[in-house]
Amino acid sequence: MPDLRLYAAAIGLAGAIAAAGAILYGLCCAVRASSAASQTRARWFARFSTCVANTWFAPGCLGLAWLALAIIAGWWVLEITPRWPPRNGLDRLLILVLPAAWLGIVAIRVVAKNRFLDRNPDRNPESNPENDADSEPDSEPENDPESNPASNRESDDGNSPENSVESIPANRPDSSHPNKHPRVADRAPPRLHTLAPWRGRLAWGLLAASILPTLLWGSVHLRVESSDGPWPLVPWLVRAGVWTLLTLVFVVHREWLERLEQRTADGSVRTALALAVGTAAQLILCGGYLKGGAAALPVAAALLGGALPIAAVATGAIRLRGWAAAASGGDTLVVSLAAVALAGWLVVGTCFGNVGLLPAAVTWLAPLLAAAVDWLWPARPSRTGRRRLGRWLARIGLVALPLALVATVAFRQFEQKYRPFTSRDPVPGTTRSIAADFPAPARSAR
Amino acid sequence: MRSMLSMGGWKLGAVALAIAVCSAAADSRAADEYAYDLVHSSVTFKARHLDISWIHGRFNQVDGKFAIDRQDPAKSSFQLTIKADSVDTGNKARDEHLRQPDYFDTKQFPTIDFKSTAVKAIDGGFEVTGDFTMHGVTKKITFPLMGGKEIESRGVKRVGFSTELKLKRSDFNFDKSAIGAIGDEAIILIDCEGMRK
Repeated sequence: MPDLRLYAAAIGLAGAIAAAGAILYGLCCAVRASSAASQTRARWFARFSTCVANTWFAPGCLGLAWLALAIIAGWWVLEITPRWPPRNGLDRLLILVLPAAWLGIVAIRVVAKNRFLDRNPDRNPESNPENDADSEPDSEPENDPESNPASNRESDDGNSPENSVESIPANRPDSSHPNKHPRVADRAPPRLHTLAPWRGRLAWGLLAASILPTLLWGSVHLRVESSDGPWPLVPWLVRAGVWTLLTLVFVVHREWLERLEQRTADGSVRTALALAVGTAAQLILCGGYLKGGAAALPVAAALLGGALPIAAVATGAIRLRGWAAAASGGDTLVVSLAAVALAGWLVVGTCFGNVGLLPAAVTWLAPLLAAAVDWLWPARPSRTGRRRLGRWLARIGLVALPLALVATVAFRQFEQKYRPFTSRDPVPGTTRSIAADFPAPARSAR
Repeated sequence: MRSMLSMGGWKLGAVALAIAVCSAAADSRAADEYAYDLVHSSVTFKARHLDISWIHGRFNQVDGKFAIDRQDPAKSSFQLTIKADSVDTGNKARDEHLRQPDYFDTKQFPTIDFKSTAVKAIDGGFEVTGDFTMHGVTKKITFPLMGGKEIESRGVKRVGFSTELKLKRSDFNFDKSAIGAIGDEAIILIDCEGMRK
């Protein structure tokens, strides 16, 4: 039975480490901005801050490494150690799928940067930290990540999503966008191969296509009892159809979330994904798969811990010079990793645990509802910080509503089904409770 | 003369081959094959609870076959396949919990299998050595299989065996967190009947 104190400790540690990383990044951005404006700072500290700020989002390695550190710390508290060779779906998710996604995301970004980024600072003002630092203090008070997202991204030292392979289609016909840096707008669009943006998508497709077979390897889901009969290939065709459909849906789901993150740029997508992963954890726990659900808790906590400080800055709740512009550029790497984690845990919960298809589908698709705010409440050019916060809250509220519904239903079912296990009341007709069958922490669940 | 000899050699070879085939057939007939009788058999288990009492359960779906060679017991063989999904402890919620990856992980490891590799006769039965696979881990185990007496009832020949296995769950990679108040050691009791016509 669940040990809630242990879960709380793991969630707290993972969330705190992730939040500390986000705040460290923000402080480095602030120091970089102020050291560029004045020469009073120690040069080594300014260099260190610039280095951290540049590598946090730009190649994505540092931000993702910090996230991984937070998650591993949470697993350490929960004593979750994946076994090698991996024996079940959860082992394969923790040892193969998530690290492969982590490496794949970084590789795609690094390849995209090296291939498509103009690295000459004279021709590429957004990759010059001095330009960024000089321009930031003036532009930040009016900085609105939604109404003027491009201006924020340009100050992101090469993290600009326009430089990433995912946003090249949006970049090409839009070189005269009013929000673009004037020197960028004057420049001719980069000459790229027509299929260039599809290379990243192809890489994502291959990664997505490998998730389902990897997680289900050796399980009953990939076994066909008998291939005799008039249609021996039908079971395999059904499996191939389901696999193709889920792969396509995953690719669209991830790309939608990534674009939403770029558009909103206020941490709401990361927060929504954190809530969805947390709900997936609860569904798996309530289904009776304790280790599987517990392993997802530090992931949700780390995503939330990293997203909330950025959301606080991006929505204007906290004002820190130099941070808002960089932080609100949209961290698509974390969103991609979170999308893989969410899909992975839902597959494990559905195929190996007791999570139903409907709650799993609702949990998977709920983060997309964050986009509904833009349809219901179109962005206006000038808005106050309160309105930005209101939009952020509206996005999270829309996502949280179905998630809360699903979580409540799952908890009620858990209460009905496992009440004898978690209760000290004796089983009807006997003088003892089933809770006594399980380790002592079982009773702390109540 | 040569042709007669060659003809004679050919016939001799054919006769030798026929004898070999017949003796092989006789050998194969020497081992009586029995199918597992699910109705009159049971695979149950028990584990210590808080080291003061026992929790009992059973597996409802079991399949298997035996080949018993009375003349040469070493040629006997035993196979048993237990469907882990059929675990039954008398409580539906607990059974569902036991099917989860925290315990039997029945979607990943749907069966518990035993296949003998060596059999020798002992007083009152056989000593069977074989590969026992549970939770994806295979261990070689040896246990006494008592019984083996054959009777005929309503035209069906039946043979019965009983044994008791002591296994440690930790040896089969069960999750540490799943080993707590319920003891690591589990005792599996197999009482089975085989039948042949």
